Amino acid sequence: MAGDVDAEFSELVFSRWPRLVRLAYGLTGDPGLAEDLAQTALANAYASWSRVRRSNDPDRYLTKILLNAHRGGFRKRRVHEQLTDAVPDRGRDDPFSGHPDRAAIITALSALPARQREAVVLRYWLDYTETQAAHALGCSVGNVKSQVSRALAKLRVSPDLADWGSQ
Amino acid sequence: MSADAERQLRDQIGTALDQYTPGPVPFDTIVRRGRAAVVRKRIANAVGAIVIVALAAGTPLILRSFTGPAPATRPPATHYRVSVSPPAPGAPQGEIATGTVNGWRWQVRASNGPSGQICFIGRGISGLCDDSQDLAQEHSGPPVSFFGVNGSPNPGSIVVGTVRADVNLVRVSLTNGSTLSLHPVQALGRRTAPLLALGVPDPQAVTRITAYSSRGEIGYAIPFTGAGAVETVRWLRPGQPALPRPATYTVGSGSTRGHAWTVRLAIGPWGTCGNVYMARTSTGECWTGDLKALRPGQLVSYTGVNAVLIQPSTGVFADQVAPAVSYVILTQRDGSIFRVSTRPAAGHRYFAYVSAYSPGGKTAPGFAVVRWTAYDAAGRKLGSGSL
Repeated sequence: MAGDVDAEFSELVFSRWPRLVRLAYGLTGDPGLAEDLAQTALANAYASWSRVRRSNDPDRYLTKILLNAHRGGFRKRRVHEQLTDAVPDRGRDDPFSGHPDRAAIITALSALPARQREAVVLRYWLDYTETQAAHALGCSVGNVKSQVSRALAKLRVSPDLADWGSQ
Repeated sequence: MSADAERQLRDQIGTALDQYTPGPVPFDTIVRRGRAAVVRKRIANAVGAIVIVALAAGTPLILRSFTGPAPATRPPATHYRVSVSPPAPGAPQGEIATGTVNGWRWQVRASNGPSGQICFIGRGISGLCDDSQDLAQEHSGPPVSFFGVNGSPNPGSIVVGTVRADVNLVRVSLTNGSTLSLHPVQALGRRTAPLLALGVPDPQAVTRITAYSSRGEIGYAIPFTGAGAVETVRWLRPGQPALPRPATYTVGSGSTRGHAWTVRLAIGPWGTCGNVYMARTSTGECWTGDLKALRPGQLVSYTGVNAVLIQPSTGVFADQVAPAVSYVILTQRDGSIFRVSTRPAAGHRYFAYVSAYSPGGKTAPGFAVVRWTAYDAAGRKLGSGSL
């Protein structure tokens, strides 16, 4: 990859890192997994840089790469962690350990099936339309509607969100 | 569900995620993993091509790289005859070009392959495929991109490439003094970039590529061919001098489990190319402009020069260091350490090393080396960090 391209990629990484980690956190509910997933997605983006660059909307493209990584290779890869007697980096505390209200929504999201979780995060955090979510998830608009509907039904009775949806 | 409930959910998710503060960007690790993925992709393509060629020929599998042997030290041939012709009326669908190399006839056709790929087939070529999205019509970017070389066991190498939408003629100068005129062909419709193909005895035969549009010359490139492919790294304006003069630096070498390897940097009008050469293969990266500068205070920087040495577990890697760094102690995951001396190249210093390569680690995925410590010539520790 050329130096000028490296500069472009660097700009992309630093500008999108927070958003990708947050999206991954919404999908995984685990800070460590979230950063790992965002890292995987960006590494995959690097390997397909010409396509990312050509896409009209890099954010949507990155979202799709991250969703694919979340579903496929990422989960498989996690199986092959290597044991080491030294800790090469410091772990991070759960950012919401002191904020039970914020932790509750993440816990409730984590309890949803992966597909429903993805649909909810895309619709209610990224503010994707149903059509955009369907494109990102590779399914029909009707499927997005049904996934979101089922997810909301589960969230409504979630013990983690006892105060929500009762109004 | 009520609109209020939806709004409440949106607010809660928004608050939870927006207030989450991610850790620092692990940029070097991301780039390292990305480059490793590129290498794996290339090797997968190479293995696929080799298997297809071997099966088609009914011969034993010949282990060699897709990019062919490393020709860095072999002078290019100058006595040969080549020709290239555009598709004639009535040519097979998808035909890009036909030609000869010292009487050996070749032909290349593009064909829609499985899984959204476009494959290049014909006489003297097989198993060369690329994702159709990578071959989409382009209105910006480099005028010409050569992406494939299909060489041995043929007596010549076939090079396939794409051109930008406005390019209607490409002239390729060769070491025998001749110039080939290539007319890009829209072989697979308007969504795919115009394609071109040429045959040469060896990729090193290509010395200059000039692109023209209907308005005249767009620019030219001196390709880097030292890794067994035709890489058009940097494009020069018409009349712009082709500088700097080519120079090659060896920044590391060694032998691991019977596999000898050398890492070279080739600097020239193409830009800078770092390549790992092994017995019969080479692979690496090229980048435009000058060698990358280290950030202030930075001692070690990843260059992107790497190659899988012994598939699938060992690779060769090269990193750049600050000028004061004389040697580096590398620590592996198992706690063992080894020392690597740095070597100069064009005003900078580099070091190359072999590392176990096993994708899947968490903090430094796939790499056995987890830490470096840099020392100056007097043995003073300058700093340390994680790879």
